[in-house]
Amino acid sequence: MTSYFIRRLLLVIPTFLGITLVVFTITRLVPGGPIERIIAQARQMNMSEGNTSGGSSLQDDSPLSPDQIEELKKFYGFDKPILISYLDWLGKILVLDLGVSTRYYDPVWEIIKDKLPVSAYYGIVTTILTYLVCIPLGVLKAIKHKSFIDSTSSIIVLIGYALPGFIVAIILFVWPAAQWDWFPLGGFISEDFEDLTLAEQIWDVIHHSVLPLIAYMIGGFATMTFLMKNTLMDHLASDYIRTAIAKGLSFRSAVFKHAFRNSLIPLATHFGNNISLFLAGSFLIEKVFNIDGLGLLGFESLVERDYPIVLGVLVITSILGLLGNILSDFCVALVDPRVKFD
Amino acid sequence: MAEETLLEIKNLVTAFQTEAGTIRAVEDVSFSVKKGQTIGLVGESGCGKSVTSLSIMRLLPKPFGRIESGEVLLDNQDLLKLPANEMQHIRGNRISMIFQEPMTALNPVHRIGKQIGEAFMLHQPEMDERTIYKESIEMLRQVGIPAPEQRVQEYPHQLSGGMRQRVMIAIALACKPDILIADEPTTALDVTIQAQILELMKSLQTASGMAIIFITHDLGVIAEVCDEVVVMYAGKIAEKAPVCDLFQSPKHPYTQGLLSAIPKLENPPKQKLQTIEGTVPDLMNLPAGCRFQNRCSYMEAPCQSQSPLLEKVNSTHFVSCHRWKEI
Repeated sequence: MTSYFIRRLLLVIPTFLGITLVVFTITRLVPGGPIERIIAQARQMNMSEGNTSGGSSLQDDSPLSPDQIEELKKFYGFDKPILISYLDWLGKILVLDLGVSTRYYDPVWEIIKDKLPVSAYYGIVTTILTYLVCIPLGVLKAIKHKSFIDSTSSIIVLIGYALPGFIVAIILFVWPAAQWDWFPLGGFISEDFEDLTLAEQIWDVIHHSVLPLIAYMIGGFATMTFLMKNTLMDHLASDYIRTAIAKGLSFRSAVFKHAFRNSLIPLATHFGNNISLFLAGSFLIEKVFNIDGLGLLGFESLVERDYPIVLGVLVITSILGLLGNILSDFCVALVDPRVKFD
Repeated sequence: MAEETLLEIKNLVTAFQTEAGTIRAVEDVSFSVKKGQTIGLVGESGCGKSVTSLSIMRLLPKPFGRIESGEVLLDNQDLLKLPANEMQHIRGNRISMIFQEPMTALNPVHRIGKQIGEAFMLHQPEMDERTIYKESIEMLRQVGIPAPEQRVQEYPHQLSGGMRQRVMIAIALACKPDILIADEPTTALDVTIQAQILELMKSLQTASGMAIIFITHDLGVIAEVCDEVVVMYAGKIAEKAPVCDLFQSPKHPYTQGLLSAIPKLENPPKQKLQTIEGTVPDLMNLPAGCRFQNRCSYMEAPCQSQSPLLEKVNSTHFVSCHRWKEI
């Protein structure tokens, strides 16, 4: 088992190289980038100073001289071939240097580090709450199949699934937060957070996160709940449950002592993926609730062609995703003794 | 012989709700099981033999299966009227059951020892964990599993089909039941393993004195293990007799057909096999009168209008046919 997981960890390396190489190449091939941004900025500056220097510079294609552009290319490493500059970038990654943002001129790692706790909080809480809701609900629905509770919860869960998260976010933002003033309008913590007692701080975080969490999770219930319900129902109809009842077990104990663990196997395969998926966040929900998380950072950096941040976020999320896969395997091995890794 | 009647099934009617309507899978079935006796329930697929056994255990698939009427008397106590929690004390304790498919009848994620031990835990709560563990190993030894100390730690997927059926028997017999219901226990196994399992069941029966209700479609198995045979056809009893009587002088045309369909070694080679023409009637629209009429070569007018009753041939032999005296 140990050797299997060591092998899996080693396989992370080539996968990681593949992901980053592809994205790195794309950032080089698509138009736009820090140099174009600086050119645009320079042009704007020229325009505002245009009254004094006359119209000649406006007709120029570029406000910067070719030498200046060459210098900029050198500064950002665009003068080298893709592969060489990729290797340069990779070399820095290995010593945990993610580079410097081309927008803020701050180290990328510092920027990401600021957002990480927020994203981790939402990611972990969402995952835990999703499982806490979906597993009991799925069990209840399986046992009470075709009952009133089963049908109503199906309708609710499916409506949640059909609504895009950001629409829910907007609805929650407009009514419970803005109109009725039940919840804060957004943000992760209040401005006077530092002055609060610990209990008040905890309450503050919870109070701020209720609406975003609903928006994050509402679509996630359906898959997990139905997966739980359907696998449990399959197992309830299986021969070994009949054996268990023939042994003298009550139906309830047969469900919880025999069928339940078997039904967790497919859920366990999702566990690692879910946690990394939620961690990466959803920029639209972050945007609505003004949460400063990784999702929003990644999206804005992409729009602004801030490639060091784009790649930095990619490094974090892809490593989490790859480790999440291994975590899933581990969870499966934990619940299913038939799974042996050698 | 003053044999004690242990279990008596009286006029059992079991129905299933289907989308097309209600079907009666078992109708008016009565037989009794005496202490230490082996009763064979035989018939083709869908004749109601498994449903009868599931009805005795009250293990019918819910919510579709329902016992409409009848009695199942264990020591003169009607099991069908027992509350659910008392029925749990009967199952696995006084009546145990083993099933056809040993590959899926065990829980794949629990160790063998735990699955045997569970029976002890349920019915003998005074036993502590160490005793349960030792007893589980002892049960495995009794059913002839080699290296039981090691097997008890293993999972079902590490055992072969024959081994798993032995484990099932170990679970069923753990609490020394009075009656074991064996629902085609050897059908899924190959012939040599079949013989071993039958041998094992017989020896365990001699040792413990339990009664066995043996459900099968294999008349060869019936001849080998049973004292008495109940032949079922389309949910009803066709014939009921001690095993020697049944094989020597079958009265019902269906039983006769079944027996003549068994290929015999003395038959000339490459000869066409005997069959019973036709198929079982659809339980949704049964013919009026005898259910076997469309396949019976002795069919006459009364067979089409009147349902035959179970008539007495002698004190132990019963048959449900209008014309049994003539044929």
